[in-house]
Amino acid sequence: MTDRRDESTSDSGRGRPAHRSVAVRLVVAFAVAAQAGRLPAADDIVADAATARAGHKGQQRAHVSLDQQIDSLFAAKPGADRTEQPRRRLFEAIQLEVDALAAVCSLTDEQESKCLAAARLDAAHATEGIERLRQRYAGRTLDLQDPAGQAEWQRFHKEAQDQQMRMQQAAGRAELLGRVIEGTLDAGQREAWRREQDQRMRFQWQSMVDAGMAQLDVALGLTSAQHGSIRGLLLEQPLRLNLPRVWATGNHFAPFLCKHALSRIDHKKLKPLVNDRQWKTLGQFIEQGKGITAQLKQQQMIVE
Amino acid sequence: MTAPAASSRAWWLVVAAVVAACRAGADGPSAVAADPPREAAVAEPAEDPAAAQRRQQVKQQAAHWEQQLHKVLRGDLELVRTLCGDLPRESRRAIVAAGETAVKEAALRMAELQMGDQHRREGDHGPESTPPRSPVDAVSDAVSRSVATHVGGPRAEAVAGELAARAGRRRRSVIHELVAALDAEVFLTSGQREVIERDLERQWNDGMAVAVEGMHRTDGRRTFPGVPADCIVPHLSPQQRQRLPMPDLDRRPEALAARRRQAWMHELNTLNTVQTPARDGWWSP
Repeated sequence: MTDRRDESTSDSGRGRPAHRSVAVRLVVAFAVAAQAGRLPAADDIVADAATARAGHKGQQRAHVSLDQQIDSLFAAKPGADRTEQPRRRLFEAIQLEVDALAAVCSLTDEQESKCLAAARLDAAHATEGIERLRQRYAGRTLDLQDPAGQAEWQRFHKEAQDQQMRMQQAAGRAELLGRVIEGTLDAGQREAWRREQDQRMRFQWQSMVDAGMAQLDVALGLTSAQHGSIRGLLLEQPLRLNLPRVWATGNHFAPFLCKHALSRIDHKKLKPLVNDRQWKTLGQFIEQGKGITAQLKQQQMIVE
Repeated sequence: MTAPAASSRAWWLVVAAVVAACRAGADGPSAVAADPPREAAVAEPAEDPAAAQRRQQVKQQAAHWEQQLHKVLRGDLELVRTLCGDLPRESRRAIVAAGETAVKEAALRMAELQMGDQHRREGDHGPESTPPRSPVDAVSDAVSRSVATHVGGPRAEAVAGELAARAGRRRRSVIHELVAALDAEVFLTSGQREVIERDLERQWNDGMAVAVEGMHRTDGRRTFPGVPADCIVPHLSPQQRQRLPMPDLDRRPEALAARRRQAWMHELNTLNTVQTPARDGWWSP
């Protein structure tokens, strides 16, 4: 008790307790955002608002039930089938790929049922970690004002985030399904599906390029011809995107992916397309693209 | 503060007081004895503190938008320079002045809309057939009009054409991004992507861009506010529809205007990562 009183009285006078207060607010902000059903992104406005709210409510928000957190993070409503709910939803997401496959390749009943069985197994495999989280943290309530509670929260946070990433990954690129598709389709179907997949990746890459080009267009005052030439170079050299990771944060990273791609283009090809003044501004974008490379890799948004 | 520092500060205060007294003396007795102007004697009613605070907030926010819109203006001027080549000094001055005025006006309008100026907001609703121009378009329109007045001919037409083309590219880019986000959510086929893009283009309004701003989720599912359901839902399979909640679009004028405002703010804030450019000497001869 004495220690706590000392901390609170020194809050405005020295740095350390103030830092602790900020740390608690950040942790609480995460908890509030998680309550809303998702993990916050680094530059998330919602998390900022949650921090402000948490700041006002202070102690009232400091106790967090991990059972509730797990339900919120994996969008499971309390009830007998709450383990089953995320698995079912993930299966439904993977099933959409099977539906597209069936529409494009006219699958036989047998092919379709093999693909659906693989999708079911992928969903089960990707969600089994939720049960492990429950077993480990069931019935726990953490006091986020307490250092031990904060440390435990960090561990929980990391495990929950890894689990969410596994599920995002499975929704966009189910492993077993991928192998079954390769092994089940005939040559004609495989070719049709490969073409469809290529088109999809091109479409997605174009959306990233256009998001970045919209900024260049305004800032550099590009003519249509200049815009077309730079965009052409970017489309010619697509990045290998990890789509589930890219879209997990909304569209925040799209312009940065474009800038990163811009930074990889040979300057000898880019420089003749713009005048000296535009080249100076373009240089800013290229530098930003270089600067964000490590983060894009760390976030597993690009595969290299 | 240490003792020498304190005494030094006191000394400077004394010097400042003496200088101020000398200046007052130099103004002469008339300056001291002069009556205040008659108008000033009639006390104006004190401004409501809340209104004063709001005015201050609008001013601060307008300064932010002004900074962003200057980046737009700089790009527009670069385009004019590329397309028009050499221009007489007077024309350059007039075009810059028109652009600067438009930047100030558009920034103030944005700030007032953002801070909930009711008068502005009501004026901003407008009929859906002729929606108000975005701040970016407002600046570009002003530059384009000025070029038409001070340069004219095919060069002015080229500028207007390029600015319109850029607006079109921006619109297509947002639509493409929207469909890419939908695709990531419900795994569209190429045929579905094509028809959805076509329908969104047909029903385009600036407010649709809200849907690509950040992440909107309900019960763990991504939602697309501002996007008309009839552009999407008819093209989805029953399974895709189940996964994608697409409530009917709120088409009330104030709801449309609110989404438009958010989209404009988002568009301008995408320029945050662009450094404010140095003034181009060619434009300020």
